[in-house]
Amino acid sequence: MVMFDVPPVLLIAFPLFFAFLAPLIYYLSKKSIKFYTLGVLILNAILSYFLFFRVMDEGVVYEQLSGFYPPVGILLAVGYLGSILAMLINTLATINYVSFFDEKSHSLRFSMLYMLVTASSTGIVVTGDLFNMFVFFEITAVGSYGLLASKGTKRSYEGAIKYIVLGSIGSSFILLGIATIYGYLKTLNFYDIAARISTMPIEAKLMAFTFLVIGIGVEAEIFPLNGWVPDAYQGASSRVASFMVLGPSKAGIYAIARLIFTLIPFSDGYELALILGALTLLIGELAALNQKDVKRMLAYSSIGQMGLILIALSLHSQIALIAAVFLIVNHALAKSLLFLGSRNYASGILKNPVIGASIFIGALSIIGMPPFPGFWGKWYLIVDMAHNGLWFMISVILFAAIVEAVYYARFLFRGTGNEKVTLLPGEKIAIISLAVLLVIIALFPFLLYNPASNAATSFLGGGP
Amino acid sequence: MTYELLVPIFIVSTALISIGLYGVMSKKNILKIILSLDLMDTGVNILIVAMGYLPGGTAPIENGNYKVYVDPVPQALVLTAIVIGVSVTALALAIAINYYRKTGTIELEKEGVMKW
Amino acid sequence: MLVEIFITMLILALVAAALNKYPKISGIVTFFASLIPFLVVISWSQDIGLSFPQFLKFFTLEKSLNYNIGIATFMLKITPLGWFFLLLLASAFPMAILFSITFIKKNAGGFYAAMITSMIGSMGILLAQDILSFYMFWEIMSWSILALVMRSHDKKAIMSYLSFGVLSAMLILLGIMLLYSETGTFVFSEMGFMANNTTLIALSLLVSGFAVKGVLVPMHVWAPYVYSRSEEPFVAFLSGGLSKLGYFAMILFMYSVVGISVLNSWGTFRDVSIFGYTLAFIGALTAFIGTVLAIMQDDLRKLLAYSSIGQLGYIAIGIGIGTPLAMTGALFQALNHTFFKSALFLAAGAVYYRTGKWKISELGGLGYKMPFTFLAVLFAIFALAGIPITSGFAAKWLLYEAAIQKKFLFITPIMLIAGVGAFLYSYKILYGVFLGEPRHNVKEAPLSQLAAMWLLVLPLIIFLIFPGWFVDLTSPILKWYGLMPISHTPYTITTSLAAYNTLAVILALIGGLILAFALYFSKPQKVVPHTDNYLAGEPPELYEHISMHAASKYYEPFDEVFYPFFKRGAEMCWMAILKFVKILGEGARAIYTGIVNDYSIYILIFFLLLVGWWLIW
Repeated sequence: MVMFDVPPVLLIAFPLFFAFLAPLIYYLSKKSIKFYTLGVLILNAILSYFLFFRVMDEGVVYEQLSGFYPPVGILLAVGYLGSILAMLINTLATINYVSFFDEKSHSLRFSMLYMLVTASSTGIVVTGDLFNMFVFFEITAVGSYGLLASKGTKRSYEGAIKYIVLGSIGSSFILLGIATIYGYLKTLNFYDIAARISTMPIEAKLMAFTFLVIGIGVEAEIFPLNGWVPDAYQGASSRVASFMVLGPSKAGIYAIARLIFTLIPFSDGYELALILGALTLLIGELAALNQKDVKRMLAYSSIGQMGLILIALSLHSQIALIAAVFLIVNHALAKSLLFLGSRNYASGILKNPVIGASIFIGALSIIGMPPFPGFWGKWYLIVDMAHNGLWFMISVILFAAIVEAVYYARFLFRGTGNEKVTLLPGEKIAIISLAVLLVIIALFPFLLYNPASNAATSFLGGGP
Repeated sequence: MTYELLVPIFIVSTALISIGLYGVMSKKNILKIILSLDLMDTGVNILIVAMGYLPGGTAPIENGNYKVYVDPVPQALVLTAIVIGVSVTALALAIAINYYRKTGTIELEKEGVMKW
Repeated sequence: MLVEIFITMLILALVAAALNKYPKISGIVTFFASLIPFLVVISWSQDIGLSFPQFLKFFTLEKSLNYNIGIATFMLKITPLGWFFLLLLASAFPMAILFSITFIKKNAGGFYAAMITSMIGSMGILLAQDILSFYMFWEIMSWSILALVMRSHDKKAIMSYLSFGVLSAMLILLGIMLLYSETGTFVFSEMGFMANNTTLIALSLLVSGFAVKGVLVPMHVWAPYVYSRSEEPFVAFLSGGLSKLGYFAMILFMYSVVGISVLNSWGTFRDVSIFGYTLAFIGALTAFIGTVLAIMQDDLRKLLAYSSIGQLGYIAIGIGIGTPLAMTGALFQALNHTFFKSALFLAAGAVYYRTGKWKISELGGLGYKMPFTFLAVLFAIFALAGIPITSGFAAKWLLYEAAIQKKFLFITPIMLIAGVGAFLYSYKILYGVFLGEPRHNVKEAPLSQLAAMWLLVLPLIIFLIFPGWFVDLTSPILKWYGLMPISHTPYTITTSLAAYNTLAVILALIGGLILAFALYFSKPQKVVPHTDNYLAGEPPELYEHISMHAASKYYEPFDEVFYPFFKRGAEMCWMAILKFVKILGEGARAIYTGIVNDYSIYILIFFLLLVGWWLIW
């Protein structure tokens, strides 16, 4: 399958470079900017496929940057999960960008920010260096602030400000965590840290863990650090919210996985993740139950899904990790589909059968109904829990699923928001493509299972 | 490594971070919140720079005239962090201006428009 | 071959959906698709030990199939139990489709596609040999029903179906996970059980999950809404066909997977396991409540919905008691219910198709205008009420006898009372809708609708004359469970208490009919307008505000007695639970105050809590 060995850095450098080239293109021809952006995103998605197949062939791909050898130089390390997520983020970002295509005034800034966030989200999942990850986190965050505010309404500004405040606090905490680790180990390379983390005094280790969990948790929408999520998603346009779900939040959950598996693995960390995951799941789903605003409801549901993924990660076993991959992919696909469709909720299945059926599929997949990927995720998760006898947790998950089904029933039956806009052609294309992707994974689950299985093995071995 | 020298710096940075957090938690004015965030950032940055500090150390530039040099990595980190902090502040201010244009006030409402 | 059949049906579903613009063509395509399961089930008859003639073997089908999808293996296999229930579903399904060719006009493509998908799911459930494929097909079936319920555009129906559907899915999932953790395998045949509490809890969870589809009290709350507000052909298949899947699954898990010896080891009551007795008791309660509520209804669909609930309760009684007699009775009742309830719902649809009315008090005299519909309903109602000339009687008689044999002093009277109640509401349908003064000048129902009804009624008449044939159908199942089939000839069923000879009954019936006709025609008849009866000669203008319809306040004293007790009791309990969860939801929402200062306080609190945790640790 491999046509040429893609260096991972290309995935980041390519859109970054073209993002900064964009003003030039805009200057030459204002209309072509959206085709330009789409072209860059498609090329980047193709690169991510090549990288994915390369990783599947060769195993973990390393690349050192800037001429220094690790641990001094920056190391990129693309593992199985990283390549899956890179592919996922780039593909979905491309599909999602199609939904912006009908925008009358297609602004330069928007395109640049979009490419920036795509590049840096990809960066988070391919990096092997803690500080590098922090930088990508910040670029993602800065880009996201801009995107969230791009709707230009009072609500979007308010949501963006809330995100800025919490995001900045989070980034300070990440920096504190980095400082703690660097102060003791004098290294920022993931492998180096993982190899020598046991030499750190226990207090310092715990403090570093605390700082990093709080910092990354803000991005990964973990309760109680996720106050910004409902407000920002509700304020932003549905398409931007969709992009936020598929890109930055997935990168955030990947960083959490790296933290609890590679960086600072210890049993209390897993336990904490389990408790946090259960709390996030329950509070997210319950808060969505009575929600009248569709986007806010989806945001709460998104929080709940993040909790579910965190639970799957916290079990640190092969099957649970496979479940986590399925849940991540499912959430990225289905939730961004639902966000895109949230403007069309009112017309339901009958008035527009294809869109209606797509939204129906998305909702089913999120609730976890077979044969969609969400089902496989929940199934493997529950099978693993049954192995370990975590019956209380299983009950929590099943209870949450019932709550979820109830409010999605309302979503499907009649939207309760106040926007009555019909979908644009671009949005329709995006929704249908996402539904098709869901169906493909539903029909051929092994396409995702095999890479996920590799990823789980690699993660359990402390790799990326 | 002489940690005694670092103690005042720890105190200063902890104080800055605490003041910043207090500001974020108590102020409604967006500008004040942004200032508080900057204070937090500064506190963290001071802490990181202090990590690499050695008494009498110089910058590790290869001119052969030094014996003790400070760790360059924290400085690089802090430089990056400062740049990021500046850009976040700029963006926050831009959004605050837009918010002001839309609402006519720079205070976040006591009860958020979007809640529950 | 089996995989190809599934794929063919799926493709035909897509074709039907693509033909959305042409409802009739789409319906005909679906009708052909719907015949496939029937041919399949007939082709399998020899494999499960029935002596069907060779020419009925339309397909050469493998008996079992292991289909690997890359990450899991679906194990499918035809068993006598699955075959019997597949026969029921595969017979009811084409009739529902045949009926809808003329009935469904709007968005027919989606309707047919979802119907075929639900049949695919049902086939998978009936063939499944492992937990994973069972659960997957169960959910596919469940969700294609949701798509059909959503066509009703009725919030109450959709919400209640979905909540209960997911509740049942989660109960089932929890149950099968408990079984899995107990035995360490997903395959039914490899599960060997210990009689411990885990298995008991698992089985209880499973049976309560299946009770949602089987519409047993208190899981029946969704059914009246869904049955009474969705399209009739779908309701006919849902009530007649799909609800049987719940009972299939109960038999499967209680008697195949867990096994009778384990059931008995949890304690017995007169040689019936306590578990089974509880199920039988719930079934009796369901029969009683359904019947009483059916008597009170004025809406034809609601009446049929509650009557459906009541009749399904009998199946649970038979499964619970679990003796050969009771099992035969339960299966017989399942078969009868499939045919008569489908026919009745279809007839209700035909009445609505012609008159546009659902209320019994607005209908009347249709027997003169739609005689064939009327006759079909008449036969179906005979079977429903268990009047001693139809197969319905044979089924109920077996069940009564099974209960009497075990001396169940509580269940038997309830069953009998519910049986009498069935007469009451059946008569309400007959009299209110089809007899009395004609009120509508309508034509007979279209041919496809009539054909569907009559093809459903026909088996009832056949099994009326030859109940022994039915026992032949069930004997592979009983043998499979190691039970002795009850002794029979085509005309007679012999049990320890008595023998039921249809030949004698039919001769008596024919004699009675001749006598009745002779009496009827011996005197000249006079038709009197019904106002004369009501008003005794007073001017009708004075009484315009009084409904003079025969069915209005038909059982008024009865309603007055029972209404206070049955006023949506179960529903109120569920609403209370929902309300509690909603209060929890309000609490969770209150966390997100929309104030950024609060959010940052949460971060600080979280930080302090974590540090506290580390300090304590």
